Amino acid sequence: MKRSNLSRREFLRAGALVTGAAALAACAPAGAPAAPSAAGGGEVAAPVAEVIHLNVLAENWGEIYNNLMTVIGDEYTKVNPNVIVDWNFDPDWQTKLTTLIAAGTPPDCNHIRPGALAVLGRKGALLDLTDRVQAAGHTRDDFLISIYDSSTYDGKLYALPGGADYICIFYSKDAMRDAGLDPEKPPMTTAELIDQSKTILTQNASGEIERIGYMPRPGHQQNWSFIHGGGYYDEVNQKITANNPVNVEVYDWLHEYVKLLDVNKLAAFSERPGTYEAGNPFSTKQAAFFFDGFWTFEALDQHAPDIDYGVAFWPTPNGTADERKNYAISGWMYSVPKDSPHLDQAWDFINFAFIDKAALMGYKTLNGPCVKAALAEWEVGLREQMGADNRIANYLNVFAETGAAATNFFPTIPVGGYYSDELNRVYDLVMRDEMTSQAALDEVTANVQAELDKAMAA
Amino acid sequence: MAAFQELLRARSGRQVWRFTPAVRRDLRNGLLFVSPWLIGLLVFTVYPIVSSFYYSFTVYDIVSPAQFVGLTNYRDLLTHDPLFWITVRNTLFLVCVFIPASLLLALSLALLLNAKISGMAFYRTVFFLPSIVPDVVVAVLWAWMLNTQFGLANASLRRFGLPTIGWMTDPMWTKPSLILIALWTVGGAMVIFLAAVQDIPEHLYEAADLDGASTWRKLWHVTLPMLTPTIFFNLVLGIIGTFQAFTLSFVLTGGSGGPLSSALFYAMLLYRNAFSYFKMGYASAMAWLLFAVIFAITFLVFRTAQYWVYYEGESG
Repeated sequence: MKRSNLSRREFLRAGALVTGAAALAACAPAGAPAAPSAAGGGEVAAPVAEVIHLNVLAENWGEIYNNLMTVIGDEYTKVNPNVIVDWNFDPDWQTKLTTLIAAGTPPDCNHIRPGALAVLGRKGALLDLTDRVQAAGHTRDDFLISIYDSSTYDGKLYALPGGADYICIFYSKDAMRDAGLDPEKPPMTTAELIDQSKTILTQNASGEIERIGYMPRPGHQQNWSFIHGGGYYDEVNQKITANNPVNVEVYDWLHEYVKLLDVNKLAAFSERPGTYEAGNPFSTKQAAFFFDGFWTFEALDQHAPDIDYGVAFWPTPNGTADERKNYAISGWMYSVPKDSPHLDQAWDFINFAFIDKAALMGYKTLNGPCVKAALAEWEVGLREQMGADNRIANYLNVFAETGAAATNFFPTIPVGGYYSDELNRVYDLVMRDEMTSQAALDEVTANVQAELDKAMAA
Repeated sequence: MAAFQELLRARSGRQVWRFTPAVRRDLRNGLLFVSPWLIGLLVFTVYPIVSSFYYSFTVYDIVSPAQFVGLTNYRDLLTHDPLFWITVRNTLFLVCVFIPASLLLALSLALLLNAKISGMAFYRTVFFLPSIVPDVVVAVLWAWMLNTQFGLANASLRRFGLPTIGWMTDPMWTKPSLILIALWTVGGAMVIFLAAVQDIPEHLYEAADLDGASTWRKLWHVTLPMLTPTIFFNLVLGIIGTFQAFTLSFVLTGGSGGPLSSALFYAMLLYRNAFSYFKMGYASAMAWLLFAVIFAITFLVFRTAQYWVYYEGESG
């Protein structure tokens, strides 16, 4: 019997060659343009413009909203046929972004929020967009101030404002009528909010809440502080100011209201899975006031088509328009990693998506645009999309005006996530009578300052 | 095998490591064949373990080079972090209550499901099913069941005129609630116990019967001693798994750790530091402390095994 001519040595060599070739092929950049092929007869085809695949790392908002976001990419490709936008939606975008940057394979551009922006911007991992924005003819005043400033760290704009969360108060006219209140007079001042809430509140014999007016949630305390003139950070001196006297007063004020409700009864009432699902207390007609963004209209259309509701500005101490400048709003941005393979195209794309087409992006994806000039077009587009007879259609200006007026924002500092968690931790302690507001906020100030100092020294 | 014996001969000879060409070739080929696993082990297990140990002595945020800070992370953890000792207490509570309860429940169910009655396959399936439900689904399901105001559990209590419980809203009840939920998924341990129960030789029970032993005596003097290797196995796995409790509480409390951080466990704080605060060095120190504790307790359990674990076939 004749043996195979392939020796073991040759077999191993061939195997190594194939494996090596496969590894090299796997390492080749994805989407590399195919080499122009020679047409028949030896004629060389006309040179084809290089096709660029822009790799965009985005936050995963679920299939429906992700698909809507890709519309912006398609619009960009229509204008720039040689650029294809490849979206990569990831719920844990922050971990992915940092590991990609650390590995030297960053995306071309990416979704980002202030905490990560401060860390990555400070470390020089993000492109400073200040000059590019100026060269494109835009200034800080063209954007919603809160989001523009929270996209800035150490005087440098590290991301382009993408979407803003304009939060307002949804009020149930049905619940107000039931409580004997005028449904066309929603609370304008903080005092009215509490007074009306007391009137609306109903509890059963066991003290369980059956209907509530204002339902405080962790995180609200920061907005209330800003609205009353408080603040959380002294940027000039790099000092944490959680124990600002106004903040302490706000914690005390909230504590007093929560005490009225009973903290355990309030927790029991408000503890429900799925804010935008059928269990939403506003949808179930168990809450008269509900603080949220305009996007809630979809959940309300689905789960509470019969509720008669309106939208008003977040109450302020005196209910005046001038006080709206104290509003704090948050949002998300898009940055360009400094080592992005396509710096210019990435900048061009985010400029297109979030400045040139800010209104389209906003109403298509149910986000609030961050360019002031786009707000009117956004309202029109959104109204057309949802139908002029939608219950929220006549209130869209309230959201837009909230965004345009706001100037405050939670500080963009490297320990922003920790700061926010600490504030929520002590909020719970204060509401449950475990600490006084002053002691709690003093503790937060000390803890976060220590972390900030360490971060700054690193 | 012949090659291996040759290798042993070579090793036991006066001139150690003098391999014949055939032995060298076989050794090389053998290593080549195991190389995918070996490379995987080195790259994906050994390297991360060693590097995390190094990072535990550094300030490291992933995007910039690590800065060596000695024992600072460990010192800060033990002396400065207001949440560290809270999570240690919460986690120890879980370990001390959940592990004995889960062993007892799994063993009891296994004994019940070993009874010779009709339809047993159905019952076994029913009790095992929850253990194959993903943790996140379990959490979402129980979030509704234990909802303080609208959940089925409190609705049942109300029906019997009993006071309701703030399962996940009252700091006193969060950990017992999580234990209750986790006990729902003891099916895995139960199946291991069931296999062990069925493996006990019948003649031992026959001998006990001849001696007039009661059911209780048979359980205490035959079943339990024969099950000690399985109890030991489930205990060790339980210790390792429970110290790393994460998913249930993370989903049920939205990552907040519940009222007054009462359901904030060690692994959750570790996750926060690593992936929310970019404190990879600090999180590595937490991971190594956790490893040290799990290792020490597991080691103790192993050391005590000779006094209470009985292996059939072993003398003494």
